[in-house]
Amino acid sequence: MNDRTTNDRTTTAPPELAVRDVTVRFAGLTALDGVSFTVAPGSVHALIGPNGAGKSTCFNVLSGLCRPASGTVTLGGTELTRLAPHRIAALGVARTFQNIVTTQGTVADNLMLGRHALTRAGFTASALRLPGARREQREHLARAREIAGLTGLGAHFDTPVGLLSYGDRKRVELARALCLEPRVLLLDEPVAGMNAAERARTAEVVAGLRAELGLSVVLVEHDMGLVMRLADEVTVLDFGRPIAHGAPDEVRRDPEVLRAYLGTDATGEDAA
Amino acid sequence: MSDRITALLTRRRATLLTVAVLLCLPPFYLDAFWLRIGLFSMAAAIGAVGLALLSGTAGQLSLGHAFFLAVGAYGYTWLAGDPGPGLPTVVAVPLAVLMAGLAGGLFSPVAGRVKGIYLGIATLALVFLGHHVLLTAESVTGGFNGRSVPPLSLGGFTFTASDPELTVLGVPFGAEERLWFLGLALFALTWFTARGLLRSRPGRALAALRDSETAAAVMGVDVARHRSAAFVVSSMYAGLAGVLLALAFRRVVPDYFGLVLSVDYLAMIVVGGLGSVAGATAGAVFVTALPLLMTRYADQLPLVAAPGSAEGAVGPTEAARYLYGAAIVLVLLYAPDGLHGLARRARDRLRRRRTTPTSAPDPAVPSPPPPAAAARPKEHTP
Amino acid sequence: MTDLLDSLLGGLALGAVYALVALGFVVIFKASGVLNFAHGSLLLLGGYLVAVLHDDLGFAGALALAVIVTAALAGALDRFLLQRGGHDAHSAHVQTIVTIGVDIVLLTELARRIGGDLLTLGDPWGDAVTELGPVTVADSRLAAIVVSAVVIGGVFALFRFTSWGLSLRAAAEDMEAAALMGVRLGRVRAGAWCLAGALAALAAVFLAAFPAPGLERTTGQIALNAFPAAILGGLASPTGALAGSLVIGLTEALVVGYQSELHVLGEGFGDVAPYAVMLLVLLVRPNGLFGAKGAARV
Repeated sequence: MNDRTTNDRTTTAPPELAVRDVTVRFAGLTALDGVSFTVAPGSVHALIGPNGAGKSTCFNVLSGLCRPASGTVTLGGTELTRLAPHRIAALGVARTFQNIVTTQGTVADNLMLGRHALTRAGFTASALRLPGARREQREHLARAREIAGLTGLGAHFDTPVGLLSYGDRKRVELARALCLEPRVLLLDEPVAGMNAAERARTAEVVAGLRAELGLSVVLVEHDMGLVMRLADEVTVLDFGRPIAHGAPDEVRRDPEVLRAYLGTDATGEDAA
Repeated sequence: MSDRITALLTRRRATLLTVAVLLCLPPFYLDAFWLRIGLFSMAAAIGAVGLALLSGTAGQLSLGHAFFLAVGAYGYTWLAGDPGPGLPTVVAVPLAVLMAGLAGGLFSPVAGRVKGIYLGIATLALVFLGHHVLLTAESVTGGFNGRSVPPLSLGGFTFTASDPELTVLGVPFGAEERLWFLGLALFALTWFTARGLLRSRPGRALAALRDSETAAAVMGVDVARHRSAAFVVSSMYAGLAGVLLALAFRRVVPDYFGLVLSVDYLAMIVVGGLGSVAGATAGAVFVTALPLLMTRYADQLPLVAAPGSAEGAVGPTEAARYLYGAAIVLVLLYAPDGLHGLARRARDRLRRRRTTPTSAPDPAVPSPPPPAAAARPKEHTP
Repeated sequence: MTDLLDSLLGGLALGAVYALVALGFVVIFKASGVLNFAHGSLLLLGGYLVAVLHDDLGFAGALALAVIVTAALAGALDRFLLQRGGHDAHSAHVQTIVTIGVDIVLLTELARRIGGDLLTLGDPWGDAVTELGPVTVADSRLAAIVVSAVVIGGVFALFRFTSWGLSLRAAAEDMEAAALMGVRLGRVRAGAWCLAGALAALAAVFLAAFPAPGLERTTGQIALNAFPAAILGGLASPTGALAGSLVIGLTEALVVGYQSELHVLGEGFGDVAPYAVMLLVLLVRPNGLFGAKGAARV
């Protein structure tokens, strides 16, 4: 693959992502209350907690969809909290959504959307089909195809997304995020609703990504098995407050966590 | 595999060539009535493609299309006419299109931030305020009676009945015959550029915007900028359509560019199938040709009275409006992807019938989606 | 001074009628997320029914029947046509365009029946006027203000005190949750459409009454001016619709009243003034004066 399209992002270690004292309020309700954690370069950091603990809100702050009342988020030396979502994306922060958000069209169309921030072709060049724009499209399409292969979507590259199975559509989201050549990947419940085989496959893909591309991953997931397997570090949220932090094994034994999270919710959500 | 692609490409090229040749034939065989239908359809198709980009692809409802058509039509008339700078008409055409784009750009503080239904109402304001300006600014627009449109002339060749006299293959070339080819050229340009846009980076960004603004933003799409840009591009196509309409009508009057015209354009893209260039074209032909044909053949149609007969009878114009009003309702409720989708489904069915006996269905080539899935394959964020 | 009072009273009366229409938009939007472009032709239908029926039934009887028929048609339109499309946001957009198709058909039919005529509605106010100190007011305008105030008060009471009102508010808040809690969305929606239809028919009477010359085929277009009123208020806020209607009504009346001082803007600017106001407001507040800023939710 040539340098223009892959970018040098993947070859250098990703910068550190630091969340400091982030507080978010919605109409009097405190969704996040002084949340801090650091994602070490190249690590997998899991955010867990019962429903409504503020995990998705935290993702929305990280990707710029939600502006915190106070606190900072920095990526390397860049402050993210004041940036628009598309600027944060351009810095190499990609995310997936809890409920699938794909656009109409084929898998290729969706993946090429992921290349948006890495490509330049504007309205005029595209309308007139200038050679530069066409070449760019060709090159990036090749890379998108590669990523589709990496995530096990190779056979479906030209299939309309609406026709794919649930698990495949979730993987389209993952692949689309990867098309951004991210340095930090935010995964919001990547295996929710999947069957055991699909779960195992996605876990494999995520583990592989980290090994091959060396990117940092922030993972929100209810599937404790997956969290224990993938995560280097875990932060536990409850009612918007961080209640525990550490390696997966430590967290699992933390009495506070057991009471707040596993104690109440484990039976229903810890099935896999 | 690559052989098949090459074969497909050359076949597509051959189809394109055939269509182009067929479209060049009518001036040699049909009379002015049919040529005018074709001409108005082509102008409408150019405008409809612009609206399809905005409403179908970017998901922004616009009822202001008539305003931008007016900017193009009046812009050309003023730029090339007297009173006005009296520029050469060849220069006035692109300038009028740019003017329409500029008008769209000036609206971008609203268009970039207001979305969906709100934008629909906001653009309603453009139509009413624009109509008011057309009536009021008499020195530029000619007021209520409008202005006559200077004919286009290209290096000594004028798009009128004579000057120079022209006979091609034994057919005398009057204004309609000449304008037919102009319309064809402009429509080809529209087709080429709009398809180019839809299949590349900006088109995908717009579609993403329609399906989920949040997902688009997170993927790096500058939401406000793309929304404004969609509006500008759509306005430019409307401006081009306006120029062609002005040339075809030879006179521009304010009352033509009212809310009814905007609604007509909306009907075109809905009937044709939102968001596709071919669909918008089909819809444009349907909505444009229907009232003209019904007027012409009113005496042969059941239930339709000839124009000018007893008051209260269903005239051809009314009959046409019933039909396309009903078409909007039926298409949206029963065939959400419009004429374009119907055609595609029919084609897929035909192709399947041709292939199934010989080969097992290829798992990578899925059967055509059911209509509901085609219309809404995405999941909604709350 | 008298001129000003005159304009203000006229504006108030106009605003009151716009409020009837705008409230209809808002109720429909809250219940179904649809913007009803067929509202103008529903209004025209109401007026037309009063015009053709008042000879036989008397004004009150004709009005009652017109209100019922218009309400029933609006409700049926929603129940049997629009609701086929479902209840989510995407469907709401599609259904909005469906109402444009419905409007084309209904308006064409009514315009064909009315033709170039000016229909009288046989209202009891006729061209009578009342002296209120220094100003002379048409009785029809006073009636518009009083009737609108009473009816709107009644609608607000409906929102607040009936189970339908509660369901409507719940559905507007969160459709899925409301459905899970046993709110029958279909009925709540159809009810909202009926209410809006009834309000539109009532508004038609005042729009066609003195000093207007009567009901014309273009009377329905006046309803379009209530769009800016509803948008100003924020489209989902009944209170906002009231405020927006008053702003629009007063603006229009003042522009018309001071036509000679405003001649730079051109003759007939009063008709388009509501849109100018709306654009200015949208520039500053894209979600209307009372609209909440849409929080990004995922």
